[in-house]
Amino acid sequence: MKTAGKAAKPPVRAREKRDAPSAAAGSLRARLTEAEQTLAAIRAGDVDALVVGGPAGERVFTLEGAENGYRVLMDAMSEGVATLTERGLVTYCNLRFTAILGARPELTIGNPISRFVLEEDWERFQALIAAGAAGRSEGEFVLKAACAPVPALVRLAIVSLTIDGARTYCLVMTDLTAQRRLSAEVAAERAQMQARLLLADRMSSLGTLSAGVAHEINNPLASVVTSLELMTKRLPELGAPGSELGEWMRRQVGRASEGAERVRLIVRGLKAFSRTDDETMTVIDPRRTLDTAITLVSNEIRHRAQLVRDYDTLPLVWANDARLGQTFLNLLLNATQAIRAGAAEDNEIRVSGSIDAQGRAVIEISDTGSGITADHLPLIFDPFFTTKPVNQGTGLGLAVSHAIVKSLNGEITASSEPGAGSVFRVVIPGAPGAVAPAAPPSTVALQIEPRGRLLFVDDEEDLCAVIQDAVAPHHDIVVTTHAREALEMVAAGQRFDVILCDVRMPEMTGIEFHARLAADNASQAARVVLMSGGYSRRPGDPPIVLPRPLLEKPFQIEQVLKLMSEAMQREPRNAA
Amino acid sequence: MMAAIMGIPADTLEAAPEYVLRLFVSGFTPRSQRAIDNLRAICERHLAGRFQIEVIDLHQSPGRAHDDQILATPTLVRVSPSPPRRVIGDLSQADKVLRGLDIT
Repeated sequence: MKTAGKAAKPPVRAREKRDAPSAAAGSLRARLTEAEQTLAAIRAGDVDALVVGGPAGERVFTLEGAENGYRVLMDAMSEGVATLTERGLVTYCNLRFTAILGARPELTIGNPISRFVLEEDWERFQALIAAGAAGRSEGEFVLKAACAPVPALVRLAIVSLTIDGARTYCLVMTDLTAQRRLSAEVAAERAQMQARLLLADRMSSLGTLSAGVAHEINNPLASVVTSLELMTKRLPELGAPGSELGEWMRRQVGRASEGAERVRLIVRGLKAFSRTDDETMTVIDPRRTLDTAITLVSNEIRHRAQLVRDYDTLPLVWANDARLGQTFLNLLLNATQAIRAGAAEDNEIRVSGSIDAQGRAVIEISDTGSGITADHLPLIFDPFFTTKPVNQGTGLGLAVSHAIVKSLNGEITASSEPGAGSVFRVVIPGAPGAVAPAAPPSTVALQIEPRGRLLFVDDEEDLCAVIQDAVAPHHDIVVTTHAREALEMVAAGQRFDVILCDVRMPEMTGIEFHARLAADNASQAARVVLMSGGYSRRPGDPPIVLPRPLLEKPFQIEQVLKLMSEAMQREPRNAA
Repeated sequence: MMAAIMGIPADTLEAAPEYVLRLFVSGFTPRSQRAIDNLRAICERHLAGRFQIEVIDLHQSPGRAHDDQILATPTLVRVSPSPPRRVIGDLSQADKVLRGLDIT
């Protein structure tokens, strides 16, 4: 071997042995020195080619050759490549091959491929190689390196070729682990999404059911509430205060009234859950909606926090009661869940309300819970974002609330201080011309008002009867269970201050009734107030648009009397 | 065909094999391929169960050449037992390899 290139450097180490200064030894030492100089030069990188002797004379091997590019390519590609001898010995592999397997490169080349094949796969692997000998074969395998923590799922392609007369198998390996891991993640995410959709679906079914139940309960409940009111009024006739029967009756009626009021609140709450409920926008009192929402979660709140209500000055708003109720409920539940149970004394959920300069209702629900981290805060209104475990939160509550408030042309925002609590703020446009409603006027005040005329249309005979009894002391009242009869009365010239009409009636709906009345007598049609105990809409049906304000069942007689006095103050009815 | 191929059984890796043999090759060359195959055959016959083969491709890990003072490939280094011994070439002559590695 000779060197080409620059002159050699001095030897790394000089031999100092001079105890046998013979000519032969001197010559040997000189040759040794020369050899060491040569080696040192090569090692130091002072040469750029080697001259190698062979049967066909000397050949020059340049040290950085054209094949270097192929080698770089081999090690840069994303497939693993290895060559196997016929006996299954790995004689070459690129860096990717060992990277996929997680094997140590120096323990891969020069070792049998069987080291990486699972025992149960060995026969199948041999068959793959045998098939590769005939051309090209492919198969999927799980390969495991002894030092790798996890096995690798790979696709192997085998090509056979002959090098220097020996059969060699080229093995190309594609990593499927990363691909599978990705698809497994997608599948897991999909499963989680499905679980949440299922829950959302169940909630929606509950909503449909609730709307139906609410309707069924509210009609008879309206009768119960009104009857109890009437009974309360006549209690004094039973005898002087302190009489045994009088007191007993008072207690019983009081209990029944309390019970009926609780049923009314619960049914109202059920309706707040109902997502398939109507989309009707009416003038509503958000304070009532808040009351109902709070009633529904009061049991949850009790163990976690003190509740503070401060929303007396809220104005009337133009909204959908059920939807708004759902929003408040979601926000209250959210606040409740942010507080861990057991320290109710130290925690507070505050519901406050006010009216802003533009007449909008501003409702703030604040808690002293865990708060929301700054990186989560921008995400909380995104659908399916939840920090709760699967099956505990749908990730929909705040997203739905957000959608609802948007649909009401309102705004919902959140601010939070992790560890100190969060504040959710809902701003809803006020009802046109609405001001904060006064406290319900007392019945005493109403009794001195002039008498008006009320037409009450409802297919429930019982309700007609109790309303007639309740209103008769204050106003003239005409009741009918048929909308057709009501139309005939107006056609015959009868005039009313208020026409209260149920929405859902078998022969003619309240909406149809109003439409026909409007065609005949617009000014009387403008006095219609609709009543409903909750009505449902089938999927696909257009949203129900109520032409007139809505009085929700069950209602209190005071509400009817208030409607009457408002109508009479606004505009005296035409002469009968 | 089936019986002839893939005849090497999966060896068990000992914690500390008696002979650790490190073979330096340079990529996918016929000489390197032959050296690997020959070394394996020699070890299986003479050092069955007592050896570990490491093959270093200097194209993939050029830095490894320095530690073992490698000048050319293929070079076989007996890492243990010490002292280190080395044999250069395609290892086609088993007796020369055994002598070079001081294996009797």
